[in-house]
Amino acid sequence: MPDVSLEQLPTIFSQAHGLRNTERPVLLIGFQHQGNLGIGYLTSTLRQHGYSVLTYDFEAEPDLIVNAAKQSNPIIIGFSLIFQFYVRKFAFLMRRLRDAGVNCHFTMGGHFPSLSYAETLRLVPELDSVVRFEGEMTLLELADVIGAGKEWRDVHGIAYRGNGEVVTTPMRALVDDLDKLPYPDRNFEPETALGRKALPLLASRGCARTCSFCSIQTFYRAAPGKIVRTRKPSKVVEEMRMMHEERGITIFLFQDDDFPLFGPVWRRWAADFVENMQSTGLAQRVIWKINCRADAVEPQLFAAMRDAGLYLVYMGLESGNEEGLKVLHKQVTVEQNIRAVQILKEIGLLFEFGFMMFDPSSTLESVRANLNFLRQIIGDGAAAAVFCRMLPYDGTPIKDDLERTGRLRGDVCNPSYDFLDSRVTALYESLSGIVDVWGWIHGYRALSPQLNWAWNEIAIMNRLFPGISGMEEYKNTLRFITQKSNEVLFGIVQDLLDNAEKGLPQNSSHAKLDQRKQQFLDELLLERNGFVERNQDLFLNMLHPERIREAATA
Amino acid sequence: MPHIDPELIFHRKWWWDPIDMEIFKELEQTVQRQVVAISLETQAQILKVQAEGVARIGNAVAGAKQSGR
Repeated sequence: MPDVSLEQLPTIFSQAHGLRNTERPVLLIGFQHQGNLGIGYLTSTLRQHGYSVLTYDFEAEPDLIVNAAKQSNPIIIGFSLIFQFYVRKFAFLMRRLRDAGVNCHFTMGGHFPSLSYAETLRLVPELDSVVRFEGEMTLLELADVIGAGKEWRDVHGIAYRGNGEVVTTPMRALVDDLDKLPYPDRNFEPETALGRKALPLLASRGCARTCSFCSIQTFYRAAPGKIVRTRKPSKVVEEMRMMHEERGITIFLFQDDDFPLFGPVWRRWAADFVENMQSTGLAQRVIWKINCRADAVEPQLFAAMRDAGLYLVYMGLESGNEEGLKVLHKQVTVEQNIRAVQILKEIGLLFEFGFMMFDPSSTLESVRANLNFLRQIIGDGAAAAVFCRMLPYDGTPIKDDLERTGRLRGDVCNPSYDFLDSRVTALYESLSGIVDVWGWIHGYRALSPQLNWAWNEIAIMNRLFPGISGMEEYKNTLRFITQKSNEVLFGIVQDLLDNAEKGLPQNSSHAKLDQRKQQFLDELLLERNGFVERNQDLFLNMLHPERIREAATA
Repeated sequence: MPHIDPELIFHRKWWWDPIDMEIFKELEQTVQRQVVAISLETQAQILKVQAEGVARIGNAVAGAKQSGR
């Protein structure tokens, strides 16, 4: 029996039966902001097997997509749904396509369609099928059989409507060896920070943990196969080297659900990765960001990772009280969260974090504990305060629990739930409504994300623009602004909490807060732009050393 | 106003915050507007087709009268 990998099966099957017809392209549509690695892997896999692939950002003008679909006459259009909130927009786009006479096969993949396939087919009537779980091989096989005019309903790993009910085919196993997949297609312009180019990549897929609010763990557990798969460290470094040398990428954003760090096996993986970064010399030329949990942070390994280019750590801290962490099934303690932040500060690593001020177990006491936790970790201005309310996504244990206990509200695009204490509901509404917490924390123009972006720039300056004068002074100024901004925000939460406890009406002035927010923003931009302008020549010389060489030879 | 090279301009954070409800709210509003627009467009097309149909019937009736049938 020859050694045949799972990835080779569709090729062997199709070639053996003379099925593959790659004359028509495959069209993929999805959210492309920051690059979409999911679409990138689908594209490169299809191309590897001879298909031409057209990709479109679903936020592009619908007419542009409709025209592209009509002109290219694709075998199949694949829609990548990252978040369930977008489902109606996709439904709208598909209706436009159908109205324009595009009658090829429509399929959709992603976490929500995989786990809630019946709901997806109900919400999106134009869909022919849903590709469930990891889609590379399933989409390829769908394209093969549809392109050859064969029966597609036998393809494994899909759901479709049949005889008035939703039918699922046998599930397809998760990709066993990620290194057998081609590198994802990244045919888009990289985002930049201070002129340095950044691209996303993956070292692993899957998450071994069981947080109750997260559908990722359900996604990887529902499909057959190993839940967490890591690539070989040398292969990851090789991909980074290639992107650095061919496209000048110096910032890498690991999009792993949970970067491989936890437990002895993955700590060895991380140590191997660090060793590879050092031995190839890449550690001195590029920087990288990871997502991880607080319980994975430990001084020795993280210091070694810092020396190998790690510059930013995103942690899902999620709660600052034990009951909240228990309900969210984080399996960490408040003490571990605090310790992780301390370690990162001590070894000089910038951090960002996810935090849910409100969750289904929230009480006024727990919100106060969360506020005190935030004061403890970022009261010094090390990062700007960002928090939200936990949302019950489809496919999560906590959503099922809320549904069972009759507390689930809203719909798929606006999921919500009742708090157990009406005073918490009033407090939450005050924060999100009266105080306009969105404008402070959430949104493109909000204050906290811009402060955190300025911190991100500082970390990039430290690593990729060494020797800029006045860095410490600018850093202290930014810390001061962040500290003051956090204080105002914490003060708002505190006042609302006090009023809620005393049963007093909420009387914060929206206009006054907007004014404070604008003052902080103005101050931030003034300081930041002043610093960059003073050092502009140095920045540009380091960004473009070739210009200096050309000037010298001239 | 400081003069800063375009490469060094401070721009909004570009990596995506999945919890950023404002994006979703804007998207939802856009979708709702588009649904209303397409609905009006469809209604206009239906009326146009109906008007054309009525005109054709009118012409046919007029033609029939002229030919004395």
